[in-house]
Amino acid sequence: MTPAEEKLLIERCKQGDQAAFDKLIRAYERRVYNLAYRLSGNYDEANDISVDAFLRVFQAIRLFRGDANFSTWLFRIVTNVYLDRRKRMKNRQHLSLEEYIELEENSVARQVEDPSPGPQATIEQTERWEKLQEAINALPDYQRAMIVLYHTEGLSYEEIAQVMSLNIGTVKSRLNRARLLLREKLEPIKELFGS
Amino acid sequence: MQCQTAQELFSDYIAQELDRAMTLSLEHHLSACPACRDEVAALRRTWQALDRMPRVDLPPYFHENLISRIVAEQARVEQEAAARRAAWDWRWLFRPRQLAFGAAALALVLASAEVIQTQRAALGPVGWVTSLFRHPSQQPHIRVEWAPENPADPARRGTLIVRWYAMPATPDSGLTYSVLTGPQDTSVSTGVLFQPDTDARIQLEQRPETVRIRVTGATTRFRREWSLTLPKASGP
Ligand SMILES: [Zn+2]
Repeated sequence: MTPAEEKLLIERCKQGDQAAFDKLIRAYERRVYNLAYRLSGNYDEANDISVDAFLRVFQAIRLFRGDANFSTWLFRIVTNVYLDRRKRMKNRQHLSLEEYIELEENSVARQVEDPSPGPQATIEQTERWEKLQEAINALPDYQRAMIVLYHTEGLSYEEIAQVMSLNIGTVKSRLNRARLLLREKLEPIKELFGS
Repeated sequence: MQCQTAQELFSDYIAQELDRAMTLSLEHHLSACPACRDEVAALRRTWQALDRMPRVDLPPYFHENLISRIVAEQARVEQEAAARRAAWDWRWLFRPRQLAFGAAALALVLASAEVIQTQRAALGPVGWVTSLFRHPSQQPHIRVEWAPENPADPARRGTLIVRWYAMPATPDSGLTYSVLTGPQDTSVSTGVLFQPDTDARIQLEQRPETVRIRVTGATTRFRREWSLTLPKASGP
């Protein structure tokens, strides 16, 4: 989709054209879900975040003026949905799902059997990505969002600044700190990331 | 150059965004400081790993479910608009979608014969996830939460929240659910999935020990059943 086509599509969405909205969602749902997954580190939460984000887009599309990229605007909404959820969870001191799963681990493990274990290499690769995601999950929310936007979504410093309402200098210095922190968290398992 | 000053330049150095003078000055420090040199090398590896993170697949029916949510939402918005004769209410945007719970709601994720994806379980001793792309969230599954009204007394009155994932809940499949609790399988709630929410919220006088959840398609042959035993409450 060219930028001109996208602009036209957004205009149709603003007029309440459902087919146009369907098309717009198709164009972005994968990226939104991936962003939400990397932010939350959890498939089901990624699902909930994506749905909430698209609902907000649907409700707010008439307010989109087009002075920023649509994708930047969209990622801003996804990031805000994620950050809002985190805040809400902290406020209600929700017993985290993971903690509960640990208690339940035996029953879960008993029921779940992999029908076809892959070759060792695949397991190692998976472990590597899981560990990296775990380290990302352990970062403070804002740092996590920056890391994901930059490294997995490929946003520029300027775009991240727009998404997070910060100036570029702040984004750069915080991202540097976030990467150093991540590096530190990966230290105990650095052999997984040897070149 | 101090190590701390050097550290602040690492990202720009790796991205080759430092000017020549700064690059030389940092490299001068690196040549004399093994700790910073190691740090840069490790940071570079972290950076590369981050850039190579694989993409994950959308869960099944993601698009269909999302569209049916939006259609329901549109109906709701239009209804509201008609009721208030207001063309647009910006506050609508910021209305939180979720119920606000009291502190320390208990949350649990349970599964029976169906497979459920959890980060921690994925790292567990069984090694049942061999590929990120075959994550079990591709299977229809549920998440169950128990939110007690009074967190100090989690076995009393509360809300049982059931969320559905990867279910073929398009409007025409007509998926309905029923929730049964207790030794007699007493039906406590029935309803239609995705009309308009992805979850069922069931007020109960006390926390059930067992929960059975059935999902049946009216026009499809889809049928799933989950039996859960809720772990004993240990208080907040
Ligand atoms: Zn140094």
